[in-house]
Amino acid sequence: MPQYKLTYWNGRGLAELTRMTFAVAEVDFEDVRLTQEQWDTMKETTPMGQVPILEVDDTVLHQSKAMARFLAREYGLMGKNNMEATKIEIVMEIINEVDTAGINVYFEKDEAKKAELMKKMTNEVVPRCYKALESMLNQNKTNGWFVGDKLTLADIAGCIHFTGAEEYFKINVSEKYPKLKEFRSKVEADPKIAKWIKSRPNTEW
Amino acid sequence: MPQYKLTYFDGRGLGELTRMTFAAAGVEFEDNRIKREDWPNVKPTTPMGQMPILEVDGKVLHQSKAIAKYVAREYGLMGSNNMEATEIDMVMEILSEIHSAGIKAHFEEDETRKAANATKLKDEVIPKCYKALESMLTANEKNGWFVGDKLSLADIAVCIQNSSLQNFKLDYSDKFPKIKALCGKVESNARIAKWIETRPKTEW
Repeated sequence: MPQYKLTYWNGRGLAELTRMTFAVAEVDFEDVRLTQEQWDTMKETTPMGQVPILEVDDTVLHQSKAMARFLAREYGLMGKNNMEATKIEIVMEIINEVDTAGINVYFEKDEAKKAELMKKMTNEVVPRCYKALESMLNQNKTNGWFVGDKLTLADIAGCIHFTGAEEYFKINVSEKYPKLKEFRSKVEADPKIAKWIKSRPNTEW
Repeated sequence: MPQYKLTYFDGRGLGELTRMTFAAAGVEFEDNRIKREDWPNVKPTTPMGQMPILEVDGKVLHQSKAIAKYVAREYGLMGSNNMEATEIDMVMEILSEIHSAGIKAHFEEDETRKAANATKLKDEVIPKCYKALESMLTANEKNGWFVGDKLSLADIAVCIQNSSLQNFKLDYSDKFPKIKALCGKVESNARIAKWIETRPKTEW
C-alpha cells in the first residue's frame, strides 16, 4: 500500500471528493489541512501554486478530479470497463458545470452581476444539468446508482455536490427531481459514506 | 469495430480533440458537421443541448473530454497504467483551465471585464499552466512525450490547445520551447499530419 498524503485547506471544497473516495475504499491517508501561514511557506513547492495535491509515495499529483479518478481506478470505483468509466466521467463533467456556475456566483463581487449569474444558474444551468443527471439514473436500470450495479466515483461526486448545492445555494432536489432525491437518500445511507460524514472535521465549507 | 459518429459544428473547437484522436489511432469515424442554421433542430435531440456528441453503435456519449478519453482508452492512447492515465488526465485538466479563462476573455460582453479577463488569461493563467506543462515534459525528457514512451492523448490535446491560442495571437512558443518542440513532434506524426492536411479548413 503506498503512503498517501492529501494537502488542502481546512474545508471540504475541492478535496472532499478525494477524501470521501479514500473513505469508501477504506484506505488510510494523511489528511493535511493547511493554515494560511503553512500555505505561504509551501505554495512555491507545489506544481501550480494550488491545492489540493496528493502525494503517492514520492509522486505529487494535482488537479482535484484527476487525483480522485486515480484513486477510483486504483480501488475499483471507476466502473468495470471503458464505457462505465466514461459514463462516470460524464456524470462528473455535468456536476462540474453546476459547480462552476456556483463558484462564479460565489466569488462575484459586483452585486448586479452576481444576481444575474445566480439567475442563470438556477433557471438554466441547474435544470439542464439535473435533467441530464436524472436521465443517467433512469438509463441505469440496476439498483439506483449512476453507473453499473454498485457505488462508484460518480455517486460520491453526486453526494458531495447535492450537499453543497443545498448548503450554499438552497438548491433542494426534493420537489422537482424525484430521482435525484431518491439518489441522495441512497448515497448518504451508504455505511462508509455515512461514517465519513459523521467523523470528518466539521468545517464551514 | 463499432460504428462511430461524432457530431459537432463545422469547426475545430471542442470536437477536434476527438477527431484527431481517431486519426492518430487510425480509426474511421463519421465526421458529422452541423451548420449553424441547422443547430436549432439538432439541439433538442442531444442529451444536454450541447455538442460534441459521440455515438458508439448508436449509444450517445457527450462531454468533450469524456468522449476523447473514451476513444483514447479504447485505442491505447491513455497510457500504460493508472499513473500514466492520471498524468494524461492532469494535462487535460490543466488545459481546461486555459480553455475556461479563454472563454471568459472571448465571450464577456462588458468591455472592462473583458479586458480584465484577457489580462488574466495572458499574464496569469497561460504562464502558470504552461510552466506546469513544461515541467511535465522535463520530467519525461528522455522519452520526449508528455507521458510514457509514446504519443498519448496528452500530446494531442496540448498541440490542439497551443494552435488554438496561436489562432488568437497568443503565442508563447519562445517562452516555452519544450512545448513548441512537442507540438512540432505531434504534427509530424504521419497520421496526424495527414489529418491536418485533409481535414476541412475552418476559421476556428
